[in-house]
Amino acid sequence: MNIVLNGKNTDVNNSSTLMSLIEEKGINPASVVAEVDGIIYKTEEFKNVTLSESSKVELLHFVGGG
Amino acid sequence: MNNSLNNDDPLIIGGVTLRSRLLLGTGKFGDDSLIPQCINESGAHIVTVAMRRVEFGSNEGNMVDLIPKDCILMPNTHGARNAEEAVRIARLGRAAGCGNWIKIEVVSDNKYLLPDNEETLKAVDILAKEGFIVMPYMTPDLYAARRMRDAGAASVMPFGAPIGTNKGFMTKEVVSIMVQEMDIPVIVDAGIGRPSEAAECMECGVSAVLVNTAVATAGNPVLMAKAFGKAVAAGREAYLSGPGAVSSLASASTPLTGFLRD
Amino acid sequence: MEFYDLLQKYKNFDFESLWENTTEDYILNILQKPKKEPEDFAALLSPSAQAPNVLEAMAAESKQLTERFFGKTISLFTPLYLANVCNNGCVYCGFNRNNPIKRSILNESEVEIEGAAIRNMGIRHIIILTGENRNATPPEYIAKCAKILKKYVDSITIEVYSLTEEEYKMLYESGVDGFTMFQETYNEELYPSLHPIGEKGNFRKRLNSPEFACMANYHSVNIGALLGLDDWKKDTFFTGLHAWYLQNKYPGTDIAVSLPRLCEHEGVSPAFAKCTVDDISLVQALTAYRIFMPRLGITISTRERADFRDNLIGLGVTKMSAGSVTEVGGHGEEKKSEGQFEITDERSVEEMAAAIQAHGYQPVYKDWEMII
Repeated sequence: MNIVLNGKNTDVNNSSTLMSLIEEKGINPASVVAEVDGIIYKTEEFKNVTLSESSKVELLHFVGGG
Repeated sequence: MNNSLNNDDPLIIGGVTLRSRLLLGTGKFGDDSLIPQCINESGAHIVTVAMRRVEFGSNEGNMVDLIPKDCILMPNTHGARNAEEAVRIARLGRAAGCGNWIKIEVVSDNKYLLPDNEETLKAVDILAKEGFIVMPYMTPDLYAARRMRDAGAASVMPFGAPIGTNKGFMTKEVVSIMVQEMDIPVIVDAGIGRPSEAAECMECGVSAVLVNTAVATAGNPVLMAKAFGKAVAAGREAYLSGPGAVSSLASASTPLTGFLRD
Repeated sequence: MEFYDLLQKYKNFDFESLWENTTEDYILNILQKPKKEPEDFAALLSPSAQAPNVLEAMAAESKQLTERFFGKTISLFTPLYLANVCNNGCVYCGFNRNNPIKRSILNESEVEIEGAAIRNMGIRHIIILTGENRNATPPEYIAKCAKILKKYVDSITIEVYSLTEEEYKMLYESGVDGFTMFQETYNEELYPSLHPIGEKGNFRKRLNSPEFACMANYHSVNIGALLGLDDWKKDTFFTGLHAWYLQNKYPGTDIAVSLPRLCEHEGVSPAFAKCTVDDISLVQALTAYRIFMPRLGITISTRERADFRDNLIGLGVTKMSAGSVTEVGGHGEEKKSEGQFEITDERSVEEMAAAIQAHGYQPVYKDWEMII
């Protein structure tokens, strides 16, 4: 199915969860902040969040800044 | 570790007694691996970071790993052009689980990077109510600062000069007024290019200084970080020591008050 | 928090020790500080500040600050006593209820006459005063007088008995924009013996009144102590603390102080005077106020000698009364009663203006008016 990940259309498995998406992308779940359709989820909640068609997912992390 | 505070002169923000009056930013480094050493040499306690979308397929290290565990990690809302965006970024930052601190940075001006005080105030109001320890980056303005304080800001952070200009403490006069009139910490953030300028801020009674560009783009960032740590401590001690003794009037004439003795 | 709470904090401050141990150099250092705290103000009142070179330094700093924040100007005003009927028995006051003086209350047409006469004098700022008697001169009477006088002058300050916040607001609607009230002494233990009879005996109520005026959005609020009732240094300190408290809490209000002294000469003081306040001490207090609070208004009345008043121009004074009459009415018609206190400087407005100009200063008749 299609979701919008970090502003880009992305294909994912139909039964993807937030956690599976993060792992698939090779990211350490502990270092990422996730927002799905406007809702912010904590790391321990990732595995419980099921993605659906056209979900808007934002995966962010800390970088250098002033 | 450069310990620039003594117990008689604590800087307490958000209930935390800070170890240092120098705050360090982590942006613009040519080599992020220098960051841990810069933090250690400078003695900084609060370290700022930004939030950005993850780049898939890159080997970006985790910024959080570069910051010592006993430092306070303070995300900024860099990128936000209005209060709503700043609030969203702040909430995302808190979700990372590193604490409640947030530097509000609302800039919709790409020419000068001047912060928008009005949008910043709105964000302060919302985020303070949600329990954040709010540190708003702002254009120096006593009345905007007072409103931010009333809205729950833990400090105010007026710029010394616009971001990245390294022009030094250009806003000294108006920030000095803020220092005299505000009852929450006034922290100069942005524009400080040299340790001497950081010391100058501290000598005026500013509570702390946030430095980023000057360290990150120095020839030797670690050494520059160390210098800033010392400068901030020196400036604070100079401020506490008070002005120098004035020599008594050598003149024996009293033109203004002579009439009292006629 | 009210000012009373701040007062309590400093009640047991060891002033004696501070004043004994403050050196001349310490005082000169205070002048260099960018911002002065109450403790610095207290130190400026030390005896060592009276050393000629130190007082001169304070005077120079005071002059500079005054010129920077007020320019080379002196605002002129005149008092108008609407009535002298009073229920209070204040021991130091000419209007004490037990004094067998003629009592009167101006009626509306008399107020009109006064207003016109004052306008003719060139004055545009007045203080209207009454004694304390809610039956004889209720707030409504004061409001009526203010409405009449507003036709003739641009700014009206009241110096009357303590009112409620609503009453201050009501008077504001009637054209009053300024407030004056002297606490007389900030010594809570001493206060009752000086005010044995009447409502004015309520120390705390009087203490809170300036704040009510600030809350009612008055443009200017003026306070002071009658120097000599207690140690003048203490009462000056607490007046300054009161002004500082009000200015910090109500930054939009112009705060000012007056420095009335009970008597300046040894051997002439009444029994209840704790000290005399000589000229040097008055100058010390005045310059200390200015150094502590650069934007504080400072008023000197016609209680003081003409030559002394003139020397204070340029030292820190910003407001002076002229053409004063402390009897009821008296500007337009014959004086209707005895005065509240002796006027020493009897110069007319023109003479006062000339004296100010001779000092290189400009007399200002209209400093401000309410346009909304």
